[in-house]
Amino acid sequence: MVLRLLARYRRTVVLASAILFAFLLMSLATRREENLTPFLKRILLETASPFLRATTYLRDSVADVWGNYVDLRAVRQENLRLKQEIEGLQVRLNVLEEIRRENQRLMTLLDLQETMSFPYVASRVIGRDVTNWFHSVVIDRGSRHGLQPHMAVVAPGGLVGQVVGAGPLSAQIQLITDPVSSVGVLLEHSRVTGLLEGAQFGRLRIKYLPILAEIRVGDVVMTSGLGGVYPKGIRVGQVVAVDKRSGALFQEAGVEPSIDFSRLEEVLVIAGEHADPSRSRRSGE
Amino acid sequence: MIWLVGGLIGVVILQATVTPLVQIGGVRPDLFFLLLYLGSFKMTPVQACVGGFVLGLYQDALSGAPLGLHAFTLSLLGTVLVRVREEMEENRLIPHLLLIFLTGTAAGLMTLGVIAFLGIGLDLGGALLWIILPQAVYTTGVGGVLLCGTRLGRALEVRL
Repeated sequence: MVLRLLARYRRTVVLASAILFAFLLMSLATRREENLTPFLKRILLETASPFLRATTYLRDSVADVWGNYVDLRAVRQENLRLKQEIEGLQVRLNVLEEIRRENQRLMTLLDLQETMSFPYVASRVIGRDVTNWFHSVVIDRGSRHGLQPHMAVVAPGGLVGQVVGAGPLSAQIQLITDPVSSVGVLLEHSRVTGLLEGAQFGRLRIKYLPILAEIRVGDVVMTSGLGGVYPKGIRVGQVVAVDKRSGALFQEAGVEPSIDFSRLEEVLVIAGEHADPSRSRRSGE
Repeated sequence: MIWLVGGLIGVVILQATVTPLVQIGGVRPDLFFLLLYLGSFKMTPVQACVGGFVLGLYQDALSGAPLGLHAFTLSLLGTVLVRVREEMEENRLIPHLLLIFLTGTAAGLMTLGVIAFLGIGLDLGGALLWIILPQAVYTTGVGGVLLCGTRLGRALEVRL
């Protein structure tokens, strides 16, 4: 009887099951203490990542061959220019080395040794978010390389985001521009803290800035270290607009990220003690 | 359904590595949806529902979306697409483009609805103007090129 009914209303039953299962997954994904959806996501990610890795490898190989050909043509001039640049950089390096030593001494004095002394895992971006709604990337390193959720990710320009899912050979990084990302930040000049949130179209906004604080356009934004995910002092961007409304309890600021996320190719994952597995995946700080 | 697996692999690669290079104003065409649309030519409503669900799951896994978001949208759309397409003439291009645009917009609105339901704060007007409609237009354009290409291929096949 039941089987006959199921056969008769097969389309409806399949559609209803798919919708119910989808909603079940979504409701599970929003819960903090559950392991099914991260597990499923890892499996799906791992089945797709070999193809992404192969494509990236192929693309890079073609680019290398082409780049080598082009480079050969201009190698002489480039060589001369680079030699001059190296000489200049050597001088700068000596100066910077001296500053670093001085800084290290001062940090020792101030007992701030832990800043920027974490082990990094270098990895390559092999895929970007496949929707226009969210902002994430897939990298070619995973749990086998020591990556875990809630590890901070940086690039030479500044903060990139955090690991939100790690399979054995690949991981997903939530960018700071993602609508559900939030990062505790500190303004370099005014020394006030706020909460940096991602928004649509890759914009960044700092919320909960004290209304009396003097925020200036151009002020450098860096991580505050509050919350335990991101180490203190990583550059995030700079203030491009200040929104101070009369009667409001807080002011807000628009931020231009220091990284061009559309050109992100390599990242460094901070595989240090800042990862805190007990935190929710949908809130960075 | 082997073609669906092949199509899925192709779409995963193209959507994650190639479409970011051809995005316009930060908007990319939705190739997962296009695969489902083209697949609906060959599928029954039940197959389209299951196929849409699987495509949606992969789309969710390769994005920051909660798992199930696009699985819901695409499984529902897959069923609707097959039903609507049963009433349409296969050879007329304009109705197909119109259907891609309308269902693409509907997919965007459904996604936005579920995102709002999950409590992720997005501006409705902004999302409609700068994500949903541009994505539907871009997807329709790419869909048009693919449909024309398919027809051209068939025409050449007949001549040869």
